[in-house]
Amino acid sequence: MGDDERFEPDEILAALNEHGVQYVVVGGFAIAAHGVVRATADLDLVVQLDWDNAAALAAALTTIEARDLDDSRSAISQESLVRSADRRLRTRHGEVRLLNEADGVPRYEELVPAAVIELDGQRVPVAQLELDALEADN
Amino acid sequence: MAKSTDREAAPDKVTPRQTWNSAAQIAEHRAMTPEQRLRKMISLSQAALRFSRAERVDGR
Repeated sequence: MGDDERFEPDEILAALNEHGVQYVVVGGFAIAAHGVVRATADLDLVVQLDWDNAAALAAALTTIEARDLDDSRSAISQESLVRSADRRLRTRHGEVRLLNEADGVPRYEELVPAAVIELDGQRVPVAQLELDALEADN
Repeated sequence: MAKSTDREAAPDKVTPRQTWNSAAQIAEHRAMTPEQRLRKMISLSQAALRFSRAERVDGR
């Protein structure tokens, strides 16, 4: 299977957890965690937007070889993530969308405390709002 | 004098915030073979099913 077809969200989440990234899963996978499975294209995340978390996020994304799908010249760095955390990324484990500035998506502070599920030994925070509020535009 | 309307003011190009309509993403999808598309969909669906079966551990 080629890289474009691979999707291993547990590996992405393991990298985030290993680096202590503060995040909440939203979108299709959050809805799936509440028992409603529907088609989705990537792993949607809202992250805490501060300097320290941006550093942790940049480190985690680097370990999974993330690159920006909309702007290949855009670096995955602490500075760029603090500036804009609304990005579509390809990693070696599949696509990730950061939705911090997307219309209709709650901010991180509105999503915590999140529900927590266990996925292959990883504790994963997922949004626990009403389904309509979780719907990312994918 | 030309009068501005909502239609004229509407953005005419996809921005990074509108990735659901990303021209790049559509082009990538079109470049895949039917088999690749199917494999990707299966992979995504399997992951979603695993989320749906995951145990909630926050005690709420």
